[in-house]
Amino acid sequence: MSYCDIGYLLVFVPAVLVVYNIAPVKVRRFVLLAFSYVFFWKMSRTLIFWLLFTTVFMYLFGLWLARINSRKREALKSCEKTEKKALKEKYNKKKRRIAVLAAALFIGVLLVLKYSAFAEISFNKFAAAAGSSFSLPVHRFMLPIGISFYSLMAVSYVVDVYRDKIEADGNLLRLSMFISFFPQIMEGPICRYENTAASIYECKRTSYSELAFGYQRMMFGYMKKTVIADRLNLAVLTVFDKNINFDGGIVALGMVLYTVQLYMEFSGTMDVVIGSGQLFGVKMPENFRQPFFSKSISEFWMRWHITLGTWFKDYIFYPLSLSKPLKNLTSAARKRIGNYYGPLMSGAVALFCVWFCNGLWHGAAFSYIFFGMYHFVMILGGNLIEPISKRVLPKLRINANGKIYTCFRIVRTTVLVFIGELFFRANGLRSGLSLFKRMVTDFTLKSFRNGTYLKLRLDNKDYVIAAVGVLAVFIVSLIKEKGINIREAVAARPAAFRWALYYALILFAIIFGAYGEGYAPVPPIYAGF
Amino acid sequence: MKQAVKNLFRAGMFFTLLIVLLWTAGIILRPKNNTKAAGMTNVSANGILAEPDNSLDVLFLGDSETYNSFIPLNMWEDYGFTSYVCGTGGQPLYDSVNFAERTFKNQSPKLVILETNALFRPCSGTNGIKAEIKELFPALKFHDRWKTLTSADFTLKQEFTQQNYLKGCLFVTTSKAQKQKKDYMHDNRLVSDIVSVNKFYLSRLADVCRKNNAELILVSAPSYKNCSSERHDKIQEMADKYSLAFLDFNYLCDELGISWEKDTKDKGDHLNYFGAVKVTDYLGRWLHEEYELPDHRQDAAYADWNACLKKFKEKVKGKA
Repeated sequence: MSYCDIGYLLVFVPAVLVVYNIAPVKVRRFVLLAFSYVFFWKMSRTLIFWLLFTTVFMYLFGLWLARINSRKREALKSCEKTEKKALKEKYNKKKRRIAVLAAALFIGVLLVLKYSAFAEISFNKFAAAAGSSFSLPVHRFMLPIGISFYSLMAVSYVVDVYRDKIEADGNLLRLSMFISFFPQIMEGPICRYENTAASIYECKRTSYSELAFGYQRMMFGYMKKTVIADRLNLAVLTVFDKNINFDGGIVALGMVLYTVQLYMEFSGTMDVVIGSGQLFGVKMPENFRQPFFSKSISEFWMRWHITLGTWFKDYIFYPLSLSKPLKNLTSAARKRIGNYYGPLMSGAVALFCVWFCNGLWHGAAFSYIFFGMYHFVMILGGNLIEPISKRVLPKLRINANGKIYTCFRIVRTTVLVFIGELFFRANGLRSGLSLFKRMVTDFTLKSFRNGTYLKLRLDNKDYVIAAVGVLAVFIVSLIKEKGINIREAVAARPAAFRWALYYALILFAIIFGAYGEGYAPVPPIYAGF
Repeated sequence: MKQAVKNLFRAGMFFTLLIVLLWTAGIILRPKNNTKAAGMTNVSANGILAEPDNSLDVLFLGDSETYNSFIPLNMWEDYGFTSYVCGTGGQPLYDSVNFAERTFKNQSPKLVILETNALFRPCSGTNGIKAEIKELFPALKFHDRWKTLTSADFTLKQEFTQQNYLKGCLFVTTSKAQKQKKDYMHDNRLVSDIVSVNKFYLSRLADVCRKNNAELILVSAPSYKNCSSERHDKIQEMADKYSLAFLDFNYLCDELGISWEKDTKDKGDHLNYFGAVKVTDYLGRWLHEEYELPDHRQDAAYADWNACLKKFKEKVKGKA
């Protein structure tokens, strides 16, 4: 069952809502937790062990850190002023060790389950290439659904307790509800304890407006996924998986279609997820903010999969940037290459680690690492040329804030994102490079004139419907980009208008959705990461 | 409280109107004929829609084992009763129930024969509910017909014209031998549990048949790949529970002379025409002897059956 499955929308969620709202508040918590585990069990069966394992250890590590904190407070009370600094340092060191141990445990489980086979196969290939006959046995493990998401949540919880940003939770029920909340368990967003744990635990009765707003958002997400993403999937499969020697024009089309598919699928799922959360009074963080209005790659990553980006920023980039060796490097670089490029150099080291991890997080393959490195180079490159473009643009009499230049930057960023997604989707790095080469060296519009584009299992009507869907999403994005809260704006209009809009959306998704007879179910892309 | 009532009324109105809209969309989108060109799915099984009202004596339900194992025209030729195979590939039991309910609207078969392979197919309650919702709202099932809608679709009139002269069965004469010669019934390698959802739909099918004065019979077609004694026992338990007759052809293979080298089209998964003839001969005789089925062969109203038989024989003569 995926979030965009009709069974989730029409059976599972209504069933949870009914039981949840009938039950008294104290029982409601157990209801929500039980349904979350049922949801997880339905997809991962006994692998639920790993979720329970993570939950219990989050709880224990949190309490351990809290105990050290209370000891620290007591010790500080009774110590001399002169000893305070050393005492603080002693306890902080202890806490740091516990936090590192916890992070190593959570990430270790993720690494072993997800990356063992990749590491062993890669090692064996290198060993063979070096002429060694030694080879490691390859271990393949079944992955529990959502492990890449909830492991990061667990790390953020323990590190935030270590940083005294949040208090350790002594309530195992609340912690279990937070980590396993069914709308987020499969594809995120990667929630922070301080943002959602309390509201999940509060278990508010579902209000009429939350019910309406929640389902509206879910329907919009469902439309994105089923009308656009799942329809385009047929063409994407043909271009990337069928080993047909299409010309560069078709490869470029496939690349664009895949990027649209990925965006509609992931952001659509997030609409369903966030809408589902709203039904239970939980405001989950947004994962997308109109990413295709970005003017640079770094801005793009502040608008696309936001919770993953902020996680890497808070738990990898900043700790690395503020570490002693990098601070020393910054000071040294500042002296040699100035105040702009100096910090950039040490920042590049942290940035490299972030993008290496980001690429690897998406999957155990070199193409994902390449994807990460591609974005690292793009972001670093953007930062490096920024002072140059600031000097050059006025000389060329180009208004850096003008509409034309802004449009150029948006288009340029979008094209760079498309290229990154080509490598991301390709079946391996070699295939990605071959497709990219074909796109650049064999680009022609011939396939659009002779109708080859219709051989991608989409007819003209499919393209038109997908375009209408994309246009609807574009209009909504444009309105949101202007800072207008579209749902409140719609809610303020007369009932006849609102209802007509809702009916149009529902019927559009139902009639033009790519599901049922003739369509293979499309597994959620991000659940696979 | 007042606000809550108001909200409840508003939500009720919204969903009522939505249901009306969905239902209307379904009326427009549903196929107006039972042909593939008109957008009908499972065209062979849905050929039953073009059969004259109250003209069928026996209805077959089930998955691919059904349309590969039973030949209605052979039973017609030998005993004169009419039957139709509403078998579809991988037919889940909720679809069998839907086929039965729909058939009873304009047919009154005395016997409904369920081929039992579907009892062991994994099935979730959610899938069952989804199927029920799709039955209620054809727009969900036939939504993709928006591409081929014509002005005729807006007249809303349905007219089913395509009869299937094979009466739902499949005619395959090729064979792919099952070379292993083990006693497959006692090689219990198959999952033999009947999931509760399937039990539920079996009981519903029994209810539907009872309400329509038809007798439900369970029949297991010979299948080297899909049958075992453990499965037989489980089916027998179900048959006893609902007081149903149960006929397992897998224990009659020697008597029928089924050869797993010549009578199967795909290494023992399904029978081919030659295997189906053997099974149908036995089944026809058994039904004729055990149940008082009418003989329509001399009835002018059933002349079309003789025409179909003639066409079928010509096809057989050319291939078999």
